[in-house]
Amino acid sequence: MQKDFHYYATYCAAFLAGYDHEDSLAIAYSAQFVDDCSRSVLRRLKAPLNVASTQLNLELMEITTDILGIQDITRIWASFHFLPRDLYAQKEGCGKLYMDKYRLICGPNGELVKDTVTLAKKKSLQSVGIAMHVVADTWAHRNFAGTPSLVINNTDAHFFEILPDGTERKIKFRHSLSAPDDPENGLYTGSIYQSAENSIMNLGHGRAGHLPDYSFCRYKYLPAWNEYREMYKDNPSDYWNAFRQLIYAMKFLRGEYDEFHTDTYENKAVEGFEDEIRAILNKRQTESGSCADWKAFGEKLSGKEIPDYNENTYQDEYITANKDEKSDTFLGKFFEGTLAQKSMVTSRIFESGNLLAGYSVDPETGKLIRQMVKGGLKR
Amino acid sequence: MSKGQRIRRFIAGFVEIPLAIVMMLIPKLGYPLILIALSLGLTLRGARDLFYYFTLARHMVGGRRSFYTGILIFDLGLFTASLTTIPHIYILLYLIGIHAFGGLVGVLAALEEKRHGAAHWRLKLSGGIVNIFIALLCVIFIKSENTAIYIYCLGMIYSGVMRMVMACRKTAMVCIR
Repeated sequence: MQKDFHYYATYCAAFLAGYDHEDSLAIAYSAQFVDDCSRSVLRRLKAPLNVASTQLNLELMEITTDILGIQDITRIWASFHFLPRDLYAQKEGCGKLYMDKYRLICGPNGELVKDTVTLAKKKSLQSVGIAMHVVADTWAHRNFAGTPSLVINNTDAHFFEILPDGTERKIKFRHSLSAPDDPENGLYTGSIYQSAENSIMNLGHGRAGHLPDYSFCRYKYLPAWNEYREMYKDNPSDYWNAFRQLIYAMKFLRGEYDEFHTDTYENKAVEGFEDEIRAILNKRQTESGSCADWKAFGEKLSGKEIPDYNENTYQDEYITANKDEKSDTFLGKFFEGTLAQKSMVTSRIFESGNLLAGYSVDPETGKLIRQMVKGGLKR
Repeated sequence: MSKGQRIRRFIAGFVEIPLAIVMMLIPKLGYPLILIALSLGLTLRGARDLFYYFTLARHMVGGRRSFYTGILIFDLGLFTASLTTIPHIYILLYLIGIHAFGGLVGVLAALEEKRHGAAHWRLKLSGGIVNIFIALLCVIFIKSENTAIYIYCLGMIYSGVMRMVMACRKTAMVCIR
């Protein structure tokens, strides 16, 4: 998912869940900032580097894909963008090396979704935004893993888009970042094929390009891990579920429900809006068009103007704050949220016997093990 | 390409060039040296591909390719190790075969990578074609053993330079967030 859903649609969901305009904006900003909080940004802010929630292309280029590099990548991408569906999944006849990767495949309504939402309960609006980013991405990024792996994330030439009239069209992937996606002609940008198992090109849905990020897109393909079984992905339906699940989750976080249940969606709040929302989701357009549509819908809902997303909005506040006051700033609270989310997911992966995300922090003793020390908790 | 892959590729290319020069200057010493290096390289590469297949790739769509290449390369490695006491002409013939085979694999891999949309497939294709061409020249001049050796060594130098160039090339990054 991109800015259209993480910022504008999340604003709409927050407003429909009962937050006021200002709080909805804070949640939406936080949800989108998860995609921008890289170590490059953190260095500029003089903030702790281990709260990073994403990695830029340039950072990924520099990283080595030895075990420590893979753990670093997995901690970030599995925690924020490819939340594993089932860390204890079973598959016949597979060894541990394979299962460690297979169990990191992302999907909605897993135990970790519940953990993520529950973690944000009674926390800051920033934590709510972070959780909404993670939950939304479980729908868009399902079937891909947040770790570099050819055997999980590769796709091949068998890739077809299902057009609105039901016909199928073979998708052509190209590898030029400067060429924009062209949905009308079925031309999309994807990462380059690399036969090395741990190549960074095999991270997440890189091989399938931005197709999982387009709400209008319906496609079928052969995931590397699915025993030659074709998989059908219906983004409009998944995004509709994601939107209703975000509202439900935020209603829970606001205290309307005592417990968060997976596979539960809010219907009442979207009554009267379903046609409008589905129309946005189904419209064949790239990010900019979708942003405009969601923005217009959000402004109609709240009657207030939604400012365009600006990554730098809260950065001056953080930079100029005294050392002791940094944690009370907007970004200070955001960083606490990302650290909590990363810690939680890393712990769960570690507890499942999987070391691909590295070692974990013992919450009882507060003992910091390896990766936290390496990243540096000091401000 | 990760840093580790770059370093490995560069070293392989760097070692290949002096080996070719040694073989041109002292053919008697060059042959066993090449055979040992070739045998070790092929056996380890084959074993690595087989390990990758049995632990990971056998569960993957299209993963059987690494099994076939692993078996072939491992077998070639073992066979190469056994070629120590036969006349040089046969060793040369075998090396020509390996070169031709390597060229063919290069061409096929380049075409496969083109289908997957990989970068630099043209470079790989041209490398494969040059390898096959060199093997053909060696066969044509095989009666003049020294000429064949020189041609073969020039091919090795070309291959070494190509490896080093590939290791130093910028890798295009298309990462999807």
